[in-house]
Amino acid sequence: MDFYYIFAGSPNTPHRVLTRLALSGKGRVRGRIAENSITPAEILQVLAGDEQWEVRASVACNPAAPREVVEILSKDENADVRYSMAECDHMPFHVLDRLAQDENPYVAERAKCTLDQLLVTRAV
Amino acid sequence: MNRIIEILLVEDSPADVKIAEEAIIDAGVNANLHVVNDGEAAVRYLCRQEPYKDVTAPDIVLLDLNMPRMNGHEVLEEIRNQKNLREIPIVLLTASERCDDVETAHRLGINYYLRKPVEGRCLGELITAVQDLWH
Repeated sequence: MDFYYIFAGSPNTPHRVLTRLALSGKGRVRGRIAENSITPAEILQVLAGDEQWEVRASVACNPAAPREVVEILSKDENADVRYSMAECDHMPFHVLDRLAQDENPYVAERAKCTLDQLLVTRAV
Repeated sequence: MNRIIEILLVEDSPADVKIAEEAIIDAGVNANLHVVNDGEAAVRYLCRQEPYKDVTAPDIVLLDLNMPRMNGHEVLEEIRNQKNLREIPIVLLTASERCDDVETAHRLGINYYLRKPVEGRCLGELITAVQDLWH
């Protein structure tokens, strides 16, 4: 049982413990912190610069991520990060709009689908 | 692991106390185990009220769910409402098959739960992680 991974994703883990876990050498653990909705903005900011794209994608899709972090990650060099963002239906419209113009056709198409779904949901 | 870890076991069943003691021995952790037998005593212990004024603060609490006086949920609520005890790691020990018991405990702030009977290897890994991360 990987308790480091479990604590990284728990809403009951204290912030100071999450901070310690964020310095962990394990990308899987950092990714779990990046997904955790109670992770403080300053830790998400650090994880937004993580070497592993999966961690950056988790930060980008965390509703608690600061707006400026989302803006930066929407221009991430890795298309998988941008694709993950294009799938998120809580992404701000202007970010999805930008992703819909992405140089990578898969990212652009995915962002357009998400925008269409959001527009249908809003219309209903 | 060099430092001795202080464990507070809150458990009313002598048989389950014995099992937990054996699990801690099996886990191979360097620990001092303190036992109280009901929820009220647990709160007094953690708040260092009589007769627990001079006890060492525990590094981790192993908390049974079904106990006389105060059950595990009530103890948890009391502990998490106190600022100085809010971050103490608490592991719920339960034989309950009811998902809502565990869900309630999560909502009240447990850090993990273990099904009884507690298994030594798992407890050892848990204690090691808590010691590494919390202390």
